[in-house]
Amino acid sequence: MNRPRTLAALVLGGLVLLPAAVQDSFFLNAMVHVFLFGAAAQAWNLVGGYAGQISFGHAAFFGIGAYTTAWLLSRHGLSPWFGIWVGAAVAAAVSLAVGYPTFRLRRHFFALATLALAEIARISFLNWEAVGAAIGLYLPLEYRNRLAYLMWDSKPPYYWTALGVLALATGVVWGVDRHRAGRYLRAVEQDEDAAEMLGIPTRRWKLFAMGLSAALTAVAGAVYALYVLYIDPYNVMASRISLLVVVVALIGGRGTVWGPVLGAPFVVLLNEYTRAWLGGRGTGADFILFGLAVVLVSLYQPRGLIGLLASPSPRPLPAVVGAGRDPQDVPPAGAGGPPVLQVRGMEKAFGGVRAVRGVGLEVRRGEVLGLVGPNGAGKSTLFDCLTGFVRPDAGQAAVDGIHVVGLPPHRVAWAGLARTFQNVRVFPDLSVWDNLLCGTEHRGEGLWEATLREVPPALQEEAGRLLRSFNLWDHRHRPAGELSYGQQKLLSLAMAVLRRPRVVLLDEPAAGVNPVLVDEIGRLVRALNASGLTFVVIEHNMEFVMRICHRVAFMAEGRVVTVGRPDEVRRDPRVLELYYGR
Amino acid sequence: MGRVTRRQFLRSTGAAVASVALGDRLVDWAFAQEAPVTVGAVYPLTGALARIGAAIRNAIELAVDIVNSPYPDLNLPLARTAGLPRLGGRRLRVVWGDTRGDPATGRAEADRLVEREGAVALIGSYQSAVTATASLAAEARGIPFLNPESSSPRLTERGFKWFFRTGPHDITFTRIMFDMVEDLKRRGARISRVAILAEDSEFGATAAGVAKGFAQSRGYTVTAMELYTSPPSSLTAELLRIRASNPDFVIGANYLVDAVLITRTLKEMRWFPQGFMVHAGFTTVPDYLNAVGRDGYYFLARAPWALGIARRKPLVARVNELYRRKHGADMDEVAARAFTGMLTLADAINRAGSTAPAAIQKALRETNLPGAQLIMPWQGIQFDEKGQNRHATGVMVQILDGEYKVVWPFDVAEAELVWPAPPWDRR
Amino acid sequence: MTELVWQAAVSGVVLGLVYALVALGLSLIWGVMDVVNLAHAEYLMLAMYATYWLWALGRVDPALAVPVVVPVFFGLGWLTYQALVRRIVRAPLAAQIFATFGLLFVLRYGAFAAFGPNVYGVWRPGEGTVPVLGVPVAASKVTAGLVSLAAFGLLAAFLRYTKTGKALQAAAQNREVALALGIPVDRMYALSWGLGIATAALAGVFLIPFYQVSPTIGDAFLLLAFASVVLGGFGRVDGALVGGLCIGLLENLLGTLVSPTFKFLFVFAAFVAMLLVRPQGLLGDVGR
Repeated sequence: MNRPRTLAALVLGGLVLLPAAVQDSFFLNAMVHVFLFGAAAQAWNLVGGYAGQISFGHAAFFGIGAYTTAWLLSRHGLSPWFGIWVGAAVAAAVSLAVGYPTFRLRRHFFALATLALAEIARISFLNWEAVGAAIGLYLPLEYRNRLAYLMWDSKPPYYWTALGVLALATGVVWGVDRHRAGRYLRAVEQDEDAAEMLGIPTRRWKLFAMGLSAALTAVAGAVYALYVLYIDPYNVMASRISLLVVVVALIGGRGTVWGPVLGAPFVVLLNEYTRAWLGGRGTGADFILFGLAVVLVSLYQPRGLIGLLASPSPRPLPAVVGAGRDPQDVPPAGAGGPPVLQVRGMEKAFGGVRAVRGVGLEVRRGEVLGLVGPNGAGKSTLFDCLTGFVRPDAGQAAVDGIHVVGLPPHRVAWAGLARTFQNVRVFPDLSVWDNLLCGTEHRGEGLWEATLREVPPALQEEAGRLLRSFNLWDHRHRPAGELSYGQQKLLSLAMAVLRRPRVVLLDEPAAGVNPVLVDEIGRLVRALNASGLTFVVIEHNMEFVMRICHRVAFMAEGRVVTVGRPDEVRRDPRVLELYYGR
Repeated sequence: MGRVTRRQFLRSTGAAVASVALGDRLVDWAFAQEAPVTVGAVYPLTGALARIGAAIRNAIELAVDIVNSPYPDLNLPLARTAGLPRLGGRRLRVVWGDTRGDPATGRAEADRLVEREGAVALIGSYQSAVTATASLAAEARGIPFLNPESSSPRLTERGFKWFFRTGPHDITFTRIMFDMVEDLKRRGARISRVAILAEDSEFGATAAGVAKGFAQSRGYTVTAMELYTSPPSSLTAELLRIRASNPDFVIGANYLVDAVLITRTLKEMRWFPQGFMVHAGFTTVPDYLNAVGRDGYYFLARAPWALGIARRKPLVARVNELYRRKHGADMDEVAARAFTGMLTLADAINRAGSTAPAAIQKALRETNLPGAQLIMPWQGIQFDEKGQNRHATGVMVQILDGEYKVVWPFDVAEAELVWPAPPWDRR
Repeated sequence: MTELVWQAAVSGVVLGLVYALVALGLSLIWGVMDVVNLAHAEYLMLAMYATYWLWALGRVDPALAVPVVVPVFFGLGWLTYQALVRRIVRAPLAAQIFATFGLLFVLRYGAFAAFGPNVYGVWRPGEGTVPVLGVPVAASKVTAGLVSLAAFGLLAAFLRYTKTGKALQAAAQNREVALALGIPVDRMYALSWGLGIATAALAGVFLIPFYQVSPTIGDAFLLLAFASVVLGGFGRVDGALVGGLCIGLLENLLGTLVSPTFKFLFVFAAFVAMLLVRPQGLLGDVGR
């Protein structure tokens, strides 16, 4: 387990000492570029790799960093030691202002918006007299060769500074990757809705990744300015910088700690040296090669070079001791608690179709309430209204007195409502273990706390026990996408209950799984119920409903027709007519 | 006193004479065998500007050949002798660094040439942005940097002590344009309004700013100043605005890609100002006329040099002939500037009599080359305290009948300036 | 002043039609299979080269190049689908974006390697102007505008009235349902790529008499094409037409009246604003 760490330390040591051995300017210049664009790619990786928000506009942040530092130094004589962080803060602020509205956009739109926004930034700087407009800024030379100003005549100090920037960016990404933040960002990338429903505030996390990413990119841009000593919009804000950063991260391997670190020397050195070798006409052969590499990566190896070199090493897992509690086959607990979820007058129409018409419902603490009815009765829509995915036209819902209508899904989750989806929604590329840990309580969880710390051991132990009782413990290293459909259903149930929410909404938990597993799921629901959890279950399998539910509500045509004990409802003539057809 | 026969005398003196002569030759030979004096040339040899880089390389190599081999009939600095006489005939050698058009690489290559190749002086780097960074490397190390062709005035305003520019910059170039207009006014033309159309990178924006300043200081009305991003998808809005502002002439700073669109949009609008004069290059590249044909006629361009001055200056024809024999094409203005820059640098190194950078710097400061020894239409080369050649100037050329003709100054013109340009329907 | 505005507007409309023609193929592919082709403008560039070389080497007039260039590019689009896009239709979004992003590099720098950084243009001595509503417009641009309108009309008719066109629409609306109905979805996708790239080539053929071609000319049009599709409403063919016209007008009117320097600032700001406020575009339905 310590081998990679030793290796990394050796490589880092070698890199630090390298300028002592190799003094060739061409090489050192290439390495400064490797480190700076590696750092920018690493920064991009946070938002484009982990959070899956593809940005083609990072040149704007690079430029902001370069300009802020250069401007503070040339116009106000402020040391870059200060200016770099100002630039980072400005870039982060701009990224948040841009990200806040654009993160609502799904699919291609975010990428296109970043393209346009970077262009807007470039045009603005081109015409902004205070920062030299198109002519750009010359850095003052009288501060050279002083550590306080980070400008030198020789290459090695730049080499070390740039290496430091790369180390910083990699350290941040490493921290994110190793702790909760990386897990959440990946979850956001793979299924935003599912992440929301687990209580992960997806937009905040995307903004966090974006801000951090912009700040780090700006640091790289600032050092670049100090290195080149002359900047204009064509040097530091051009789209080629955005594209280079994307290509480095992609070819190296996005969403991994070491991908951009590996991609940078590959891309930058190839770029520098092919032209030195091919010389002459400037054929752009290197870019053809990069293009092909990017195409191949997108087709065959989404984790890029790093994916070719190493299969993803399973992260060290806690050796959880203590046998899992074997859930007993307990009969339904008493169902007479006080109401925990109250729904009143819920209305929702889609166009002319009134999917939910004035539904009122009361769920008592400690019960398992079945929600049955023919297809199109409005059951799933009711869930959507309760959990914030659909905004109801009218109606109220409260969990232990907290109103949840109108809240975004993660706030609903914070209020104590959990939910599974009709089509199972786990995060396919995350391991089973990471999937489960996405189900911890997110209310009051700080962004930095989640970036710097792992889930506390006690909670990990509890998660381990839960996984054992769900018979998934042996699969905990596997990506969830490799599990069978039934196992994925089990996993999503485990994810929903880990934080012990007040009410768990299950949308057809038994649909599409084999009978043995149906029994297993039923057994688990009852066991969890016995331990104090309250459930609302949409299900068509009446036998299943009869077995696990204390009460059943029957819905048809958007209304709750009747509520009662399972056997009562089943014999109700209206139910017979509406459900089984006259 | 012993008797020395006449024969002995003759033999001994002969031997002495011979040995003196041989000794001299030996010294020469020894010097020439000593490592040549190395000058670093930092230019875009690959990438989008590779073609320009190649022309510069040809010109610099020709200049080096003229220094190193005897050309007794050329009235150029160091042409008659072989090598650098004050350094005992040591030869000149050029080592090349490829900037690829990138400022950071330009600086690194300058560093490399000094560090690894032992260059005692540098020459470069075509684009102003790259010259800005490459000359930083020279300034930091205390190595003379000679720039023959970058046009940004800022380069010589930085207070550098090791930076020298032989060629004209945007201010000089713009002065040429306005001087020509003044001459036209003296001939009776009525010209008072100017519009500016430039691309928005350092090149275009600088030129546009200078043109605006000149126009205002000389009492012209600037009717419009429009900047655009290259390559443009349309220049209709820009040119409509310029036309509506009703200028007498337009000053442009544009790339070739833009020039084609400018020409076609002007033709589409059926409008042409009295004169359309452009900074730098597009009109002097054959691709331009291939793409626009006769529609490209009557554009004016400022040029530090044009082959047309050969009619008045036989030296130009001779050098061009050498260039042509070597490289199979006529010199262009970039090549002529690089050629002149290299000879200026060689002249300074020779006068320094040493390869110590400080001595070369001092010699450069004292440079005083007469116009007769240049292929440029300049009175000579003398640097002011900022390192700018105070005699750098240029000519105006106009595209007439598919060729670039020198039309101003009137006393060196090879063709009559067409002003105002004829409207589209009479071409 | 009013004359200036009128001129800007008329030439803006013609310019808008040109942009719309460039965006047409992008919109078709985007609408049918929800894949954004980042390399779209590179096909435009290649078609411009093809037309240029036919003219330079074979003295073929650009208008006569249509029967050669357009079918070849239809084949190229089909091939691109079969070789590349087919594999990423159902891949995650990132893979889709990066596949065409890589393609952009390959095509652009392939052209760079083949043709060098030089600028080429077709020069026709007789090239004149045509008065459009009292404003002189280059005949080549008017032709391009008319071709654009014709292309939109033909495509709309194809989609509405032919069996294949209807099948294409079905495949666009719901892949699974279309498959269940026995529609060869895969072939429909390939067809949309063929058609999309063919229209890009059509644009290239008719742009070259006015524009010049160099390996990076795609940059001038790519973002404008995206903006056209988004402004008009993606997923509908006529959206690109409306979007292109809006951009042509916006660019020319605001450029002429306010400042040309900021003309694209206006366009891109409108683009981003539309994304945020009305992501379905001007024509789009709320449902989609």
